[in-house]
Amino acid sequence: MAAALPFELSRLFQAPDGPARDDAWANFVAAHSRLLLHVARSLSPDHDAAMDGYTYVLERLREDHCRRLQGYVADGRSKFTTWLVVVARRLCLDFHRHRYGRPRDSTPDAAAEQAARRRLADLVAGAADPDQLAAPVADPALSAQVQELHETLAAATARLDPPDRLLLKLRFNDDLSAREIAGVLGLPTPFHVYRRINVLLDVLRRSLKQRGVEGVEP
Amino acid sequence: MTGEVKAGHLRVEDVAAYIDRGDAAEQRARVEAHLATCAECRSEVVTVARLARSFRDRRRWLVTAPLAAAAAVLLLVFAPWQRGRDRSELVLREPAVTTTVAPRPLAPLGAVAVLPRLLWTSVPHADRYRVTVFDGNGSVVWETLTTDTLVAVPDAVAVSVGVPYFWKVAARTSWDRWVVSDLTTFTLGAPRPPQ
Repeated sequence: MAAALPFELSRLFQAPDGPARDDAWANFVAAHSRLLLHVARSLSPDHDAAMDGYTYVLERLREDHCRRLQGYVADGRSKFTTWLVVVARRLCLDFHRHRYGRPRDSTPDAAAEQAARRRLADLVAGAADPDQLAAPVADPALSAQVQELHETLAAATARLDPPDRLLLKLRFNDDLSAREIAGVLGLPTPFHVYRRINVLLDVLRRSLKQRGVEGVEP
Repeated sequence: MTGEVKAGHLRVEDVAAYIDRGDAAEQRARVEAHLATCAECRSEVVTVARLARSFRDRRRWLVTAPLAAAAAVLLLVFAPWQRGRDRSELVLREPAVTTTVAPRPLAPLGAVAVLPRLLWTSVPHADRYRVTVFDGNGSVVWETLTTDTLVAVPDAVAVSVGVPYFWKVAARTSWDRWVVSDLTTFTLGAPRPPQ
């Protein structure tokens, strides 16, 4: 499973201090600059902010004798470029949090509420401003029934295999397209995603029926 | 670096390995079990997969676009349907005038019995012609402008018999651009007596 370290990386690690290391670093930057810029731009549409993020990533990658880069192990599990995308993206996120602070309402609850309001706004065809929508009135009995329904569904879902659970999450929680789900899960085509979802929904339906749930109404 | 998923979030190498499908089935299932419950890691995996794919597509495009352009040019230049074509079939209108031909005097030339009119060839796009007749000394005997390619010498112009005369015609092809014919000579002979 072992794979060779990329040439520019091994050259960087083996270079002695001084001009040779500077040269090796310049070689590394030249080899991966496009990729790092691509990542930096994906997180900030503003050109200057993206360039600042790119500079920050380069600084962090170079510090302490390229400590972060030395963390890459060429064990064949992943390509260096994929690994570098993950590292660069995390560094860019750090940079943005450091500069702009954490985004407001980034908690899962707030995101779920926002998503629910967005769906509701879509249902009324944009006639209402989502921010102006009133919060739902809490009915204790109804809430208990909804909670019970959710727990039953969660229990039925928990019995599925991890890839199937992940598939349902990507489709129904994250709103990903079938094509993207196929890409993430390594399925050959989007049709495999649709077919698998149909099978899983059928399994869940039967499982819920066994627990006394016949419809979507609480 | 064992690929073990921690209780918190996926490590860099786990995310990269999951996207590149470098893990064994067991480890992959562990990562998927974590992803099914952790929205943050799921978001990271999806985003990194998107980035890696878009960068790959972009690089592919950067490499293939110039090759495709070069192939298109070669195809246009060396395409089989370009080779055996009869070029004359392609002429749908007269060619553009790139060089201007001069008018050529047709009559009178050499010895002539009478001098009814002067005749010359037309010049494409010429809007007028200037005809000049000289005597043997080079003096202008008569000059006129016309839009036609023939002109009658008026009776007022005295042309002596047996004396050589010269004439030329200039054609105007555009504003202040003239093309001039060669100087041509004629000699008027004595009119034949009526039979």
